[in-house]
Amino acid sequence: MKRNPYFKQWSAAAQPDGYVDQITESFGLTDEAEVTEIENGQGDWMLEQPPSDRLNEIGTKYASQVHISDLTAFWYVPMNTNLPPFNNLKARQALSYAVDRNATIKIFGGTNLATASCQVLPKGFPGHKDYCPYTKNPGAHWSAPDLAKAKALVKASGTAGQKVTVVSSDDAVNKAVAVYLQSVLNQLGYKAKVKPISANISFTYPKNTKNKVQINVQQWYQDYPAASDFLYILFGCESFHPGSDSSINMAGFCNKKINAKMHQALKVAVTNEQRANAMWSQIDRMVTDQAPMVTLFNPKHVDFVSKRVGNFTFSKQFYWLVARSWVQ
Amino acid sequence: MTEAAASAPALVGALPSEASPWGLARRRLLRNRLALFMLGVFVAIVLLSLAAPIYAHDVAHTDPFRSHLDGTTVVNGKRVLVIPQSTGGLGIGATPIGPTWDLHHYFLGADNQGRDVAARLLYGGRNSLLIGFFAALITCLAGTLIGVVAGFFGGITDGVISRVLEIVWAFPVYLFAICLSVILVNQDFVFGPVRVGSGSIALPIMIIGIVYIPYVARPVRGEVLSLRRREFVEAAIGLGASRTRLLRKDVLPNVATTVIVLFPLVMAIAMLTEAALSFLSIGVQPPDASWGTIIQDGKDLIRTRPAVALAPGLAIALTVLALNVLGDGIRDALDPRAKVRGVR
Repeated sequence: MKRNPYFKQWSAAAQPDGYVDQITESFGLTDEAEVTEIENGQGDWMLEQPPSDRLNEIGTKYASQVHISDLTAFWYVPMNTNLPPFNNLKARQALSYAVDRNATIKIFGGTNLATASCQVLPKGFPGHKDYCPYTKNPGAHWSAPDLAKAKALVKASGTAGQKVTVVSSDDAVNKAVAVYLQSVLNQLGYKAKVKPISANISFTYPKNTKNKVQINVQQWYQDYPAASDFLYILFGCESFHPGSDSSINMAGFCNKKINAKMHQALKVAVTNEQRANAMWSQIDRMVTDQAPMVTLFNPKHVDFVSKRVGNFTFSKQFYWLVARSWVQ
Repeated sequence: MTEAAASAPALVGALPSEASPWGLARRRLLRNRLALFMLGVFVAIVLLSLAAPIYAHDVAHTDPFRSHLDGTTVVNGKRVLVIPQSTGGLGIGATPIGPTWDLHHYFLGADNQGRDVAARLLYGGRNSLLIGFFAALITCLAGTLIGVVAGFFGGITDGVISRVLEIVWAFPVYLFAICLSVILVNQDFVFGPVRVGSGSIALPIMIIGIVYIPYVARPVRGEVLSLRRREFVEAAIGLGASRTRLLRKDVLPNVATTVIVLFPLVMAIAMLTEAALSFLSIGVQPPDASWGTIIQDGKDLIRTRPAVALAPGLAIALTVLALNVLGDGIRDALDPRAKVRGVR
């Protein structure tokens, strides 16, 4: 992309002036190679997150070139509420109690890059109020898994011994999280296996009910700064389309009472955002209690840039504001 | 009796047992020190792999199939996290501990799930050797049967079988194995009353065993075609020997030496194929271990913890080398052109 020499800025608010004259994007490298390129000054930024085995290296030797930014996003594990064993509420809650969020955070890169969570709305998001029932001491925050309670719930559900396949993208972190979940499911008495699939289809494959995905590892990042972007889009009845690759409600969750409340909140939000956010907080708790997913953590975003990049600016909506940076 | 006759060596009657073909082969093999050494190496690898449960349970006190992301161990008398978080710089990243060289505590370090690499290496050896052995067995048995039938009966039978073998041979082996694995690894394999679970190691055994059949069937077929024209076979036919007798007494014993030589070589190739399929996540399925899956686990730790990938890689290399040298030694021992020595 090159700067248009004939463009005249008519409003700083509408179109703030950028600094760079040209932006070149190149494709085809692995994430490992991209990190090496930036270290060598052959590239200025990488779209992918740095691989986990390079985090310590860039965090120590290239710390001044690393920018860690809060994200309104979450890593979660949708459980298909229409297929056994997760069509059983107790089975879903059992997994929510059993998962050690700290373990998954460790796979992701450590506590400086992620915060454990139990609920849908990320911290700092409109409507968010700290809530975590799935921990040893239920309350506002997650502290530790409760394996004993989880096992009791599995026993009560009568689903022990069933086969479960955990689907995930085949990149290192997603697959490692899936293998960890397999270990937890086996501990709970299920017969779990992992099915890694290409990252190219890891978002569409679990959405289509024809593929009969019981549980998979996913991430969701804000599209716009409103609670409905998480709660209604991911868990609303209208987001569930059986047999479609576009059924973003991967859990197939459709609770009429909660859905009605979502519709109400959407209406209220048009005129009274504060009241709507209070409603979304309630809805967040209601959805969390129904456990159509296991929320793992809220991640942070790591941007690794070259030495010559200055004025790095991050937006939770648009991420790195490329045009606002300069290179020297 | 003439003087010449009196001094002629007594060659009539049964040869001493040491001079029988199998006895001679055994003696030649025992004289091949390199082959014997490699046999010892192979046996040691097998025994170590068989000892995996003992090592994991009684020595390392670990469950190599369960994630231990928040686990701890003892290094130099201090209790440490198996996967400690980085404390330097920005404090990002968490790297598993490296080799401690302490048999009781993560001898070769941990993988990205906090599992003991040494214990998984031994368990992985069990699966890799098991798959290699049984896949080679399937290949050699099926290949022998097909090759003997094709070569012995000839005609249309040979024509049809040879064309099928050529079609299978035309596919690159790894591509063929990958195609079969991708289809079968996600669903149970059902063939009549037989049902093989999708996570079962019987699947890679079956797939690898099938794709290498032409590699045994064709040389066996060639051997049988050659045997059919030998004088002792023609003589047996002339004397009215049945097909069963011919196969049992003349063909199979002669073909057996070829198959015996091929077996360790096929086993080595089968183990390499299994490692490749498991590396691609379509062979042995997690949490089960094989040398290929451990290399896959170590792929993302190659910069920080290379031992995770190097250890199974070296294990594969050593085992394949041992099998190849052993195979060469067996081939040299069974060489029919070697002369009988020291008959008195």
